[in-house]
Amino acid sequence: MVLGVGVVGCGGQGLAHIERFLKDGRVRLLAVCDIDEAKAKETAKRFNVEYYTSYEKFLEHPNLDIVSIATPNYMHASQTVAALNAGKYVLCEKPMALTVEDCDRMIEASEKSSRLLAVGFQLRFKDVFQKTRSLIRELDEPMNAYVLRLSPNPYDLNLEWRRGKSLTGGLILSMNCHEIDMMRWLLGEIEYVKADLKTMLYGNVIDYEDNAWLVLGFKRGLTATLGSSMTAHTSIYEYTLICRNGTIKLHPWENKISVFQEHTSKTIATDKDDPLQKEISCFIDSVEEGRLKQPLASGVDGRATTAVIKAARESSEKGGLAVKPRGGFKS
Amino acid sequence: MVNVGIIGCGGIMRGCHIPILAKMSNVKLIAFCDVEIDRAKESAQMYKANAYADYREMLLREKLDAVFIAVPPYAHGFEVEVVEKGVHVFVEKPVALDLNTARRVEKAIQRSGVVNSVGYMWRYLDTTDKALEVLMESGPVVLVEGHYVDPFWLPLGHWWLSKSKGGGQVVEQATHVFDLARFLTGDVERVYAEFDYSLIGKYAPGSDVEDCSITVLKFKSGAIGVITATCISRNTYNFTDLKILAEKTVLEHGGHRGFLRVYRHNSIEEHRPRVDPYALEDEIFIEAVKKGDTSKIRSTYSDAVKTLEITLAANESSRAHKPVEL
Repeated sequence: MVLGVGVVGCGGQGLAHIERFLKDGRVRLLAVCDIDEAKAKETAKRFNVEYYTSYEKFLEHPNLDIVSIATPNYMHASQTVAALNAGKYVLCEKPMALTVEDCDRMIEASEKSSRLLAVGFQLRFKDVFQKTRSLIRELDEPMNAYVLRLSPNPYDLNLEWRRGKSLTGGLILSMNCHEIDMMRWLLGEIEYVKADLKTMLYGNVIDYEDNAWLVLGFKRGLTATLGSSMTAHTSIYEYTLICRNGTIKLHPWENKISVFQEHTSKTIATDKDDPLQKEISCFIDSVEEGRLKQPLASGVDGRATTAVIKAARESSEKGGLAVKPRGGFKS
Repeated sequence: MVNVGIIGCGGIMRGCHIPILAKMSNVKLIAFCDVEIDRAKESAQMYKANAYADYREMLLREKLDAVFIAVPPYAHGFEVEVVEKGVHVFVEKPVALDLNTARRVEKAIQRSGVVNSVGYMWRYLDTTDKALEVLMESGPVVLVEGHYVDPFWLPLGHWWLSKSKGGGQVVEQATHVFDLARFLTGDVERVYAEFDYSLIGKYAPGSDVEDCSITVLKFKSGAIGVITATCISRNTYNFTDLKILAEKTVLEHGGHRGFLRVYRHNSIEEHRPRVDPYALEDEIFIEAVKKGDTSKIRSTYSDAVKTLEITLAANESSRAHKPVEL
């Protein structure tokens, strides 16, 4: 039986999902949904599928097996829960949800309905990060890590939902959930967070931080720092991982990894791949096999990241004290 | 124990060879010679040795196994007298300023059969070993590109600023790049050079050394190369290097910086030196003197004459505006 797919959210990321589902070829795109009728209609016409402006009606489509959620961040939780309750397999874009409680509701819904829930941390599928993950093992115990993600404002602040912390989750959730998830995936569970969050430039437009400093303490003992900015004049995205037997530096957008050792260093060019395609194909594999396949992020992964970011907010409010990420779910 | 004498107590000797030799347990520094006797005395005092202003006197009075020679380029040639006494010689580059002198010394060395070595220290870097190893599997070398970009900060009247005393930048300095190119890609058959002198007078009034040069090389293997040098880059653009483009690999040797970068399909590797090439060239020379086995010496006198020949041909070509066949 060919799996039927519906995509909710016909913005850039929704279209990106549609293209990858079609390119995979194992599924059939049946419907799209967007509250903006013109957008929904245009997308439906382009791909020759049905369109909905009502999410409830969309979920009533008789042949939908998979729902892919690519809507503004604040909608993820309720839409995911509704889709799972309707018996759909759900691929939810990052961040999973704005609050830990929402994440818990999503995980519970997935358990109750026995339907898979995956969160779209697509960087896990990028060759440059997969190679880094095996390099960390080769180079022995990581001792220190620095992540910098600096750029000019990447968001369209004309969109209302991009301006409010209660709708986007702020810079550290909306953007840096990628880095938190990646650091968890590379370095393990995070035990405490210290943070300083500041609004330096866009204070008259947004109510969240545009610059952030996070210190992350990991269970295995190492401490990492994450610097984030949306007020820079160039884009810098780099990870430096100091391991016992070598230091790794990676530039994800250039698909480049450098390994420095005492007397040698090596720079490797990794694949210029399409991580979203790999993620969506892995999600389809997972649905077919009835279990989440590595390295797809689960609801528990998505929740852990939201919990770290919540702890960062709390820490920043307390002047940078260490805060343990936790929440209501089974803890 | 190898009894060593020093001829020429200038910068390279005092900054480099003397402290290295002094640390070696199988070497005894027994005599120091410099035409400026005070320089010789200074070192002699430090190592409880004898000082001489005249090398002939030193050769006469001391029982020397080997001498280390670092004199200004114009002062070479007397090595004939040293080797005729059966004393082994380590000579700093360049070995002379003209081929007649160099060949005279070369013949004397051959007749005497003494151990001989010339201070082209880049040859002793482990990164140079790595370059040779990588070149074995890189296919033919097609293009060689080298640089010697360095400012001079010398007092007016210094021998380096006079072509008849120092030979100019190509003969005296860039010779390291020419030599490494030869070591890694073989001998040269044709040389064409353009030299420029337009700025040197501004920084060193009266100087006649080239301030910029480009030398095009045709190697016997078929490869072509170009070596660029300047001595007036008084800014942050200062470096030495030699790039070798082979069919499958590009090598970048960092010269004085010592590193070797290997560019392959989808990867760049950088190797940094684990050895001090100055110490290694001295140790290997002393070892060869002790054991009579010269197989580890990487730059013999005869080999260095070939490098000199290229740099002299570059000068000749720049004057004649014509390629010079070797």
